Amino acid sequence: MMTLSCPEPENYAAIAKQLHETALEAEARIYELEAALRAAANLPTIVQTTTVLRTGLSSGSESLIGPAFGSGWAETFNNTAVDSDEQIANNDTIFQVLGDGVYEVGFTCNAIPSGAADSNSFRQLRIQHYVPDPTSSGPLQVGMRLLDHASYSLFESAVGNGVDVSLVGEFRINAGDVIFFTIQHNNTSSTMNISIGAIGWVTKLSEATLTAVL
Amino acid sequence: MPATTPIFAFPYPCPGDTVSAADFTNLANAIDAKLLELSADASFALNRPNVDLNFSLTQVIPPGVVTTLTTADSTYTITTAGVYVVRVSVVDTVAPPTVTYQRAQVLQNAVVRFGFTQDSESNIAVPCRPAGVIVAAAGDVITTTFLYTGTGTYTVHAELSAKLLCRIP
Repeated sequence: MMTLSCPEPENYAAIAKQLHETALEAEARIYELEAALRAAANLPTIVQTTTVLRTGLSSGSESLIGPAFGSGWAETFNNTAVDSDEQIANNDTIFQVLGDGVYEVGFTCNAIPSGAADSNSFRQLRIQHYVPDPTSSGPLQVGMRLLDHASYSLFESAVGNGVDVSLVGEFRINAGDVIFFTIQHNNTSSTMNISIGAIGWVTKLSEATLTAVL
Repeated sequence: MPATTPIFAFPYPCPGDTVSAADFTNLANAIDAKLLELSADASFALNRPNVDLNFSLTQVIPPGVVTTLTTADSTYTITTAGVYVVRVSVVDTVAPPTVTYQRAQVLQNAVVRFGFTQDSESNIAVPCRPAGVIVAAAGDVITTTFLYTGTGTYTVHAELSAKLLCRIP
């Protein structure tokens, strides 16, 4: 609570100083309030879009896709302190910067065979949440522990349009955790491509701790 | 010579200045104006411009033609610039005799952003539910196209929601 005293006749000379202190104290309090409100109104969000055709995804194995791992990408939107050249997937920097919290993570893409399409073959899109192994000095995936995932499987109709896939999930993520966007398919007649324009995003819905129970 | 605070430029008199009622008024008005700004932020945080269009008027779709849904409540014009999660569900009202493939795509100002495909070899009409993110300016128009292969016509309606994640600074 801010307290403001009233000047008395014997200290009129101090009025200028008192107004100065009042202005600074009001500014400090309002600054804190403004930061909290802006955070609530503008959830930390990063959106990235691929700019290069991803090719050569073989059947029968899970492939990393999206704004990471072999794809060129552009930052579509970022209102966070995360550097603009950081990829949101396959990267432990993102949640080091954004911190513990409940996040919404999404990914959309068009998966289209590079050649023949096998009718009714599946396309499984996954958003995976991993905890890195702090003792590992190898690539990110080595020693990681899968904590949570969202997935969806769709099937190929072989009409020439490929399969449009979209997936959104909510995850409780700690600082330093990693997410991956992956796809697996069984289109054995040809490899799979991911069209330009695949979109991945991360938004922080809230802090991780529950501060009140209603 | 009056000075101002470093962040919000609240005015205050300096020692040696002649203090008048205007000094109190100016400081109070500056604080009041800033609080009014915060009030707008608070209202925005509590009342996000989210939308949920629950059941559009139905539309008849011919087979093999990418058709834009145009009936009432199947499109949405963004009112506040921001990043939105848009979800659309295209649902059959009257299913066609046969259907083998369905695709719904969400467009921003007629540019495809994302979509969702259903392989319907069993001739069962199932909803297509694309969900994705759109970075939008005020006035941008969100529409959906629907395509299917099969025979006969397909009568559908759409359910569209747009959830604001954050404003564009």
